[in-house]
Amino acid sequence: MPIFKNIYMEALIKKLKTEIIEILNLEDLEIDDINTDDPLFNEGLGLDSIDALELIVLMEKEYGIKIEDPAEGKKIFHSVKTMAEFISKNQ
Amino acid sequence: MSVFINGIGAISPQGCFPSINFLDEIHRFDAGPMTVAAPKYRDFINPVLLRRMNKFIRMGLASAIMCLNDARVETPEAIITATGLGSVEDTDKFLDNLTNDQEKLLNPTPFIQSTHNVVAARVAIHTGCHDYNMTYVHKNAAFEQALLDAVLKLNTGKYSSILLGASDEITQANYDLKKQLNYWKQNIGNLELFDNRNSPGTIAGEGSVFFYLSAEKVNESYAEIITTKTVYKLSAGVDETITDFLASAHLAPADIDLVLLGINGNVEEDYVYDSCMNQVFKNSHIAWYKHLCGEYETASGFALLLAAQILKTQHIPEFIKLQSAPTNAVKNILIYQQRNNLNHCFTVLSRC
Amino acid sequence: MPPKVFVTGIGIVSAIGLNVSENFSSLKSLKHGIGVLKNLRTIHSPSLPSGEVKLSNSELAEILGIRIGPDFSRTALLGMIAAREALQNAGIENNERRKMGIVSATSVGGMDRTELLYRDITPENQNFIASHVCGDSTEKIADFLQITDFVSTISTACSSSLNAIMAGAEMIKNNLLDRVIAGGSDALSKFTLNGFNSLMILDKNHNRPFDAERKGLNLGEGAAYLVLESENAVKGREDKICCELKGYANANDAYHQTASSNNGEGAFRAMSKAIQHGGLNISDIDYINAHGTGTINNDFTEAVALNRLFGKDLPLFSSTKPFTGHTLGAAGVIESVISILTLRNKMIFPNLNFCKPILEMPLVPVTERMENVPIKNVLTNSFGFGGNDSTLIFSAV
Repeated sequence: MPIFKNIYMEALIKKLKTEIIEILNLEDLEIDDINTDDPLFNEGLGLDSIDALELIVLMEKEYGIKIEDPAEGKKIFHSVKTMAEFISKNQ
Repeated sequence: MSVFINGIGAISPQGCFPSINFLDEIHRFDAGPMTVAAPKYRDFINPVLLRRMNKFIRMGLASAIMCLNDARVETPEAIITATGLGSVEDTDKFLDNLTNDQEKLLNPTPFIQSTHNVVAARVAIHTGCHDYNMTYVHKNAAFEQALLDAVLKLNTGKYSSILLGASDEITQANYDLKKQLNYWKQNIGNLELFDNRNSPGTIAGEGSVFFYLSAEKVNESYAEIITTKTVYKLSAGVDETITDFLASAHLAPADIDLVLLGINGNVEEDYVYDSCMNQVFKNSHIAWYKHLCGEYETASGFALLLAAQILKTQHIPEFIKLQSAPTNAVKNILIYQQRNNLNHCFTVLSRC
Repeated sequence: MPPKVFVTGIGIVSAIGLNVSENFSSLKSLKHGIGVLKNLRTIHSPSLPSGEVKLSNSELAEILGIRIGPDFSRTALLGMIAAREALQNAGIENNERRKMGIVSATSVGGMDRTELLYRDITPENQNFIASHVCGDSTEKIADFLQITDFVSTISTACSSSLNAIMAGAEMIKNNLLDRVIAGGSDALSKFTLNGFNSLMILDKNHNRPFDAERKGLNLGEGAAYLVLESENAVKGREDKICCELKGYANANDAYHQTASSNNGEGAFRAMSKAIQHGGLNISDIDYINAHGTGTINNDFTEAVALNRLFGKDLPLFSSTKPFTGHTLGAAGVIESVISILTLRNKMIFPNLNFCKPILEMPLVPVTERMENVPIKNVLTNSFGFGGNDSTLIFSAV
């Protein structure tokens, strides 16, 4: 089972990175430029509160997961890894 | 207190200013819209920030930076901007999204970028300017009202410099919408506009021009702003209004060497300029500018750039002239523009 | 020496009344106007309470005594009603209006028409397109009031109408005009309702400014205008003077497109500069009508700025947005009229729904109506997107 989970997570992480690049208009970046474990906000990619809201829209539109409180979003969007873990837990 | 133009930055359908070849010749557009010849925005704006910026903000911020570079200044004391339509693209995007998605799951970015003060805000963030920040939006009078505000602030002595900008964009969707309503001439380019003045419609344009205004004259100063005024509806004839306006600056029509008119090729609007052309200023150079930048609410920002450049170089490009005068020296220029016989705007600037 | 600027007339239409008298009556009896949306057709109407003016566009037109076509936005109609009242209260006759100026503010312009019609344009309705732009509602008001000389429009998000008042005052102080009617108007629209909803800063319940449990703002709509006159223009009509526009200032937070900085820099500067501009001291301010939207960010940063400026000498303050909602471009002038009512009647209207102060900056607003309060100087704030922060001070004469 862990093997399937790994493949699933890898694919999800790749998909997330593509989506992040697209909806946040990170024109210059490739998937490989985003480190799975690095913080997305403040340092790392330097995303801000508006980007967080865009990611909340992504969660609901693409994954059907509704995040009611923007403050909750902060923890979920810490890194691509935490986002992927949140999705796999809540789908 | 005097007001000098000490820096200019512009992104226009005729290219960017300052640049070596600016207006060496006219860029031709076979039909509207006349869109800007954009620079490489990355040369001015951090790519990480650029990602979220729509065309309206990019044009505005980049031209403001060009202006500050031209004036060799980093932080202005105050920022005043003018726009007629604000961010058209993002307003339309958010509106389309909300209609298509029936008010569900909307992206916030186009909404927050649709407010009219978005350029003034971005310039403040970029320059760290915490002081006076204002945006005027009254149709074709927006720029002159912003200019008046700047002049008044400088005259009080509380500010010694102001960054002043005029920005408007055209999108294909907005152009097509107005095409349905016969705002534009069909299949007439900017070089044929004047010859087709006997029909309705004009040519669409866009652009962003920023000025660094200062109480202090320097070697590089382009010109001195003497006075500016807007009148919603004339209570007297055009001639009398202009004469009174000039008199308030201790000038007479005979003192004006060049009149720059907001003629736009629309027969339903251009008739207002007839008496200027045929009577009041029969001994002055008369010229026009909307075949260079197209018609948009803050096009008079482009007119001010043109006038300032003419005063500095003492050269009037042939392709803007409608009437020549015997005098070669250009000391005083009057800019006059109006739309639909409303919002008459007058500005005088002089050689410095 | 620049002339003093006096307020000689006020007019207002909001969720709590169609004129000054109705608004005052509602404020006095603690009757707020926030409720389920009835006029605006939106999927959010049950879940996002808002401060709607309780009339349809045709009912507004009836009050004005005019026939309207598709090119009359709700923003224009609200503005016309409020502006007319202000001029009537100032007692300025038709023949004296020509040489007046009008400076009006709006953030939404004719969007209420555009969003309904733009997918359905017909030869009969197509003139709505001309009414979309901000400047159109100002011209409709100018035409209705027969003002022809100086007509101007300002749009700086939520601080718009305070800036319009400032711009009008500057025309007077620089001796370019003797009289200006200044203010603003914004109608509710799906555009703004959904816009703020996408930012997740709307409260599904009644807004609670400065409260620890605050969840966001309720939108509102309305219009208000002040008639400003120079001391010369007012000679012989001193009985019309409501108050003096004593000081004002405009600053920018220069931090983020929508959020305010943690140290409330823009707000702090606007307030301190306004006090300085009015030749006053901090201790001269008797009451503050705060911006107080009920959002986590605004109320915290405004509290920080208030604390930075006033410290333990913080005057009495309240936000009246639980009464009217956040009326965006009209917020500044609507709250200016409320501030003037406070000044005239020596009455402070409470900050409804307040229970517990903000943990990180515990300031306590006025929570009960206060009467017979000795008030000489009232300060009012409006802080907007784009970091546009403005403050006005009105003084009793």
